[in-house]
Amino acid sequence: MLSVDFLAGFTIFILALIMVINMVPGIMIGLESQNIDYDAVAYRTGVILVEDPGWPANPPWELKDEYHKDDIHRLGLAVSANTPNVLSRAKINRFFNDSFFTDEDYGQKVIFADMPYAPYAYNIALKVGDELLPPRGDDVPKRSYGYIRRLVKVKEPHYASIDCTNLVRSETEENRTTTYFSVELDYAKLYDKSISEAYRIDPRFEPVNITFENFDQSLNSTDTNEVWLNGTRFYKEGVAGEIPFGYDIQDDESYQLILEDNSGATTYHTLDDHCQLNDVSKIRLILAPPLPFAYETDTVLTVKMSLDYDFIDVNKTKQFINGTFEYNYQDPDNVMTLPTLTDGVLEVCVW
Amino acid sequence: MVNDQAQMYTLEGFAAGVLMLLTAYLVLGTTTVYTPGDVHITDMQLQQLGSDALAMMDLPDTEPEIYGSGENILEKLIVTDNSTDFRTYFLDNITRTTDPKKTVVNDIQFNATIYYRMESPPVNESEIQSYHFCSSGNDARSDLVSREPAVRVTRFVTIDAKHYPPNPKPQITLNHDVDERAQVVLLEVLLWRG
Amino acid sequence: MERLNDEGQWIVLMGFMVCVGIFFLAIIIAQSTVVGQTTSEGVLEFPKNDIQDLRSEMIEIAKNWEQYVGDGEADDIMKDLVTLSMVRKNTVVKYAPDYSSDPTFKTGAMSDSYNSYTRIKIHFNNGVTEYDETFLLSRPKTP
Repeated sequence: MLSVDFLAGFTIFILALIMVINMVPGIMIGLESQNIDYDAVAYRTGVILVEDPGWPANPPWELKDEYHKDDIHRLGLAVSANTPNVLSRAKINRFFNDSFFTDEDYGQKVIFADMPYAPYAYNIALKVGDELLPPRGDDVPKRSYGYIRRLVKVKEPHYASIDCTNLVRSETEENRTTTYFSVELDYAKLYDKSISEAYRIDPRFEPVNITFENFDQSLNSTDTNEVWLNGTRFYKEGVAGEIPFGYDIQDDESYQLILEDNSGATTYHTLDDHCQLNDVSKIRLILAPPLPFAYETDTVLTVKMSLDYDFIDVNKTKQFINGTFEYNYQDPDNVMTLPTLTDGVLEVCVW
Repeated sequence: MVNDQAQMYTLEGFAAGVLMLLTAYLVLGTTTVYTPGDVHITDMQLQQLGSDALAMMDLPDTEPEIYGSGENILEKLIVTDNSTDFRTYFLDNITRTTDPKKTVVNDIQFNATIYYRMESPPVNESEIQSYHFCSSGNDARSDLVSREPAVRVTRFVTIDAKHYPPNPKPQITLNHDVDERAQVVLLEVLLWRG
Repeated sequence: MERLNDEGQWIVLMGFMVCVGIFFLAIIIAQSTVVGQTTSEGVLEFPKNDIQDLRSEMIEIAKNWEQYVGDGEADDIMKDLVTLSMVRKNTVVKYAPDYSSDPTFKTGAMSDSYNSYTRIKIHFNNGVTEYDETFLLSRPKTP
């Protein structure tokens, strides 16, 4: 017989059970133990990105191409391990490139999620000056997430910019003449170890960027018939003749030679090309790292552009320009813009 | 119905209920002890942010050796005793973000003190002296009462008054009892959520 | 009451089982929070920023060492660093004792064909964390 006594007792028990079950999720919400873990992951990711140059470090991972992506083990953005919070522009460009790394790469090489058991969702955002780079990962959720903010400085690239209108014009009697622009890179001066890595020019890891500005304005138009860029060559001090190099191959991985006219239209050329320069305002040469012989500290590398001037006899002022420039810190020709640091902020969210 | 074996189940039900509720309350009570873990995380974020801010202010934007005296903003602000600009720079640094919705905490307060060593301190006084440098509020002492737990971040700064031509003496030695020599001072910043 | 033993009091038993369950759950939760807490506390306790600061400061001073020696300020600067560390951070920052004339650095002690090296010894101990580093600061030799 089911007694009233039993019913009452069981009802009280069930009621109490319901109350207790209601309390249990409350305990968990109050603790947010998951959140704690996410904060630790965000912190770790921040440290890897900001204080570590990544692995491999030399040659650095940002020089690996698509086919050697598997050689990259860790994606750090720092210039070197000795300069925490100073980020390399080349590494940033690679890291925030839409087409290079996949979500899985970020998960394995930065977040170090224990794939595939515990995949984390993340959002990595970097702002340099006022420029916000496209964030990696997903949009930040409305609920709580692990978070760290790191203040950084970004090492902006160095370049030489030579204003052709400031160069001294020489005169000649001949109707044809060949002149040169040479840029000298003395690696021993560049690898000056007393200069912190944060400000150092490093031909192993960083592009060398040389621009000749206002070239067309430097021409004496009445007497100059045509000017041709007649090849660019590399020379090493103490070695006779040009050094072997793929001069006839246009390849962004090794160099870019860009001619720009007054309207801003650009054309790309190989170092072997003969290009007419009459209407060219800017000659840009970008040498991608590592530069030839970059690992030999006593090398002096000379980049030599030869120019052919063709004159017509009108006013008998057959003028041309040429020059030799040094690409280093002392900057005797006053053409260099040395590496500068720009303020930035990096934020990592993990959930 | 009502006999000596009666109400046994009811009593059992009561006993079981009380047992469960008591346990649940007990467990709730003990686990709240662990919630300070949360506080440590915000502390960690705040400490990292503060350290970064000081480190970045202590790092010149251009190579100091090439450009003569490359301007170290932190050194300059301390030598010229410019607390107004320090407040602007520091707040500007710690509030910098990629997205205003992401915040460590909404309102960060700080209080900066400088500790320095005197070569020959007054009699019966410690070698290490200090002065209040800057705080987020306008009144230094109002910040010291009733505030949240704070984190401390520090930065050694080498100051050389010779970098900032004296007029007739560097401001820092005029306003405070600081020696005129080149020296290392310790900048201590307390940070807390406002 | 003599019937108690026969009935088995299974409602109380169920209540007891639920209690055991709650305790078990609480232990698991407590364990997981302990992990999170130690991670962030560990970060707070480990003086990474202090060491980085000390290191960059030492390198900065070493770079200008000759100028400071020339001005007679070198010893005072090192004393500032050591005393402030001790008083404000309870941290021992030490000179390397084997260089008695020039306690922290030995200029030009080592060199190769391109650089001469200044050796900087950094010792940091705040009672919990100890850190030692020998850092070579190089300068190009003037030809």
